[in-house]
This record gives sequence, structure tokens and C-alpha cells, in this order.
Amino acid sequence: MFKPRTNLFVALFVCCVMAGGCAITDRNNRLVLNSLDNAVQDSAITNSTAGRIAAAPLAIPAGTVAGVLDMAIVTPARAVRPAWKDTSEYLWEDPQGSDMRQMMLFVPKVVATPLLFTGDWAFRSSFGTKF
Amino acid sequence: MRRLLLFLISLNLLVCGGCAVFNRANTPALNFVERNMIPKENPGRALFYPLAIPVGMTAVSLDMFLIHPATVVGDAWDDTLDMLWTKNLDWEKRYVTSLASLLPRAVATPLVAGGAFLGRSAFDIPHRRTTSVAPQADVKAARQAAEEKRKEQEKKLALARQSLESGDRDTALRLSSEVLAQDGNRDEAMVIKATVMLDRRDLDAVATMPRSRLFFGDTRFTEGFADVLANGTAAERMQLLIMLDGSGSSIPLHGKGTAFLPLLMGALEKNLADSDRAIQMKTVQLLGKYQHGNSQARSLLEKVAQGNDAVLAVVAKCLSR
Repeated sequence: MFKPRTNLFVALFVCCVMAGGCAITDRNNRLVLNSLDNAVQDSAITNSTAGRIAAAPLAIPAGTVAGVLDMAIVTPARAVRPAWKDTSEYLWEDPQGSDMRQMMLFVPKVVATPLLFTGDWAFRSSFGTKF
Repeated sequence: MRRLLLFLISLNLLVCGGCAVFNRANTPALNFVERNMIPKENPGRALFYPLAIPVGMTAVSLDMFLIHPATVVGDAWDDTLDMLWTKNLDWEKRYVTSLASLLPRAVATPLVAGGAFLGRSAFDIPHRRTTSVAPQADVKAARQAAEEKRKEQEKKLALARQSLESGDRDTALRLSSEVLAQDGNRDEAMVIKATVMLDRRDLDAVATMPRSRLFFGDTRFTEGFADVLANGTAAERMQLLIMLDGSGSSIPLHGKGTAFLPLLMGALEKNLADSDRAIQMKTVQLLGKYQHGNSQARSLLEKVAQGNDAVLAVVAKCLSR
């Protein structure tokens, strides 16, 4: 619809607007980073400014890798179970209506299952929802 | 580029109800023109009309693109600092996270600052001084006032309860009414008031009070209620029987708050032996209602069903089925 530069601008704008709700901004979704924080807390590194500066060249890449791990692996992995639970609750649990109705709905439900699961999982992986 | 401009203009038009320029406080140039440059009297005023549109447009444009944006720079910067830098940077407890987030924060800073600046320039967003400091003070003051009010109510309720125990019903009634006037949902005040009304045999007032099920959880009230039900005049007893009937399922028959049931059943048993047929009948009806949840009511009903009064026995048998 727009030129590539315009698309980039709009995408960047949307990203900025949505970044506030990003999963990584919630402390509960940063398991690896939190464990690193806990590991260096009250140590020689954090107790002095010199220690903090000295450790920075190592801590910056380590922290970045930990953040990426949290974002790309840990949070998506944790989102699988609740996403499956949502899908199962929404589509399969407590069926209503007659057996015939359930039979008629079987194929649509089978088709909808991966779609709903993927959408739910992607949303839970990207944004900060409770696990 | 033209399409982007069109997109931005459309976006602006969509939300222009909240446009900064529509708030008088955001148009100092237009205010100045309005105040100082328009003649107050005719014919000068009439002569100014042809100039009003170009002068006004110039002033509004100045406000929109220069003056108002210039006044929001500080606020936009403060927004950015608040959002990205002031909070969540804890070098002692979250050293690695803080360090790793420096680059993303630095990248986001111009974007957030630009967005905040554009947003504040275009829309009527109150200045930070008026939004953050004043309401916080208001909220704190309101919270303090509410806390003081709650403490005062607690004090009054304690005094009311004490007055009721010592027999000073007037004070108990006055204090509980004062609390209810401030907060109509204070259960304890309602119970105290109902107890005083019951003691005064003002049964109409008790009957019309809301949430009567709460009253039966109060020992003082239930004792008074059972006393009137057992020893009151026929009319009073009938009124209480009707009240019980109206309370329906709100009378607790199981679990907590059932300590009053033996008292109530004793009073009902006494009413079964009353000479007034209406009272006897109403009592049997109530026992029929309570029989499934209360063994004492069931055994009383069985006793009536096997008793000498043929009419009541038939009713009791029908209700027991």
C-alpha cells in the first residue's frame, strides 16, 4: 500500500506503541536475566562502582544473550502449556449440544485447533500475560 | 511521502476532537490577538472583520506549530525519562538487566521522546506539573480523609455497642444512625440500630430495614428477637413470624451463624401452644419451611402431625410429605 520507507516508519511506530506491553518488559518473563541478576547481587561486582564498570564488558553481552534467550526460547516455551490449555478449554472441554452436533463440529474444531493454539501461543509469547 | 502525509493528516483528523489547539490554554497567540488587537467598539470592530480570518489563522498556526510545541518539549523529555530511565534501573539488585537494557533504552529514547513530543504537540494532554503533582496530593489527602473517617466510624460503633450493652439505647441509636448517615452499608451500625428498634418494639422499623439476614448473626439481636417471639403480644409475635417468613432462605440453617436456632425453635414451640389459631398456623407453616434444614424444626412438625389438634395435624402432615 505504502512505499517501503513509509512501511518501515509505520512498522516502527506500531512497534514502539506495542513495546510497552512486550513480554520481556515484565520481570516475571525474564527468568534467565533474573538468575544472572541474582547471581551477581551482593557480590564484589555490584558492591562498588569500579566493580560494575570492570564487569560491564562481560555483563553486557551476557545480559543481551540472556535477554534474547528469555525472549526467543524461555517465554515461548513457557507459553505452550497455557496456550494449549486455552485451546482445549475453548474448543474441546465441556461440549454443548447433542452428539450429532458434536460430530458436525468435529472437523471445524480440528481445523481451528492449530490456528487458535498458534495465535494464543504467539500472543502469550510476545506480550506479558500470566503463565 | 505524499501518502505518508495523507496518512498523518487522516490520523490527526480522526482524533482532532482532542486537538491541543481547541483548548484555550494552548493558544497564547490567539488569546493575545483576541485580547489586544480586536477593537472593542464599532466602527473599528466592523473594519477588523475582513482581517479577522487571516490574522486568526496566522495566530493559530503560530500556536500550533511553534508556541505550543515549544512549551511541551520539557514535558516530553520528562515523559521519556520517566518511561525509560528513572524507573527500573537498579544497579545493585538488577545489574545485568540494567546493563543489557542500556542499548535498547538508548535506541528507544529518541523514538519515545519524538512520540511524546508529537503527541503532546498535537493533542490536549495536560502538563506534567498539573497531572502528576496536584492529583497525587489530592489522592493522598482523600486517602487520609477516608482513613480518618473510617477511624471515627469505628470509634462511634464501639461506643454504640458499649451503650447498647449498658442499656443506653438512645446513645446507641444516635451513634449508629450517625454512622449509617455517613455510610449506609455499615453492617454493624445497621445491626445495632435494629437491636434498639427491636428492644423498643418498633417492629415496623425492623421489618423495613435492609439485609435482615445480618441481624441473625448477632447474639444480642437474636436473643431479643426470640424473647419477643416467645413473650410478645399476639400482634408482635405475628409480625415477627411474618418477618421470618419474608427472610426466607436468608436465615442460615447450616454452618456458621446458627447459634440462634435453638432459641428460635424454642420460641416457635411456644407459639405452637398459643391460643391464637393464626399464630399456630403461621408457626406450622414456618416449621414446614425449616424442616429440611433443621432437625429440631422437623421433630416439632412431626409432633404437631401426631398431636391432638386435628386441623394442625393435617397441615403438618401435608407439609411433611
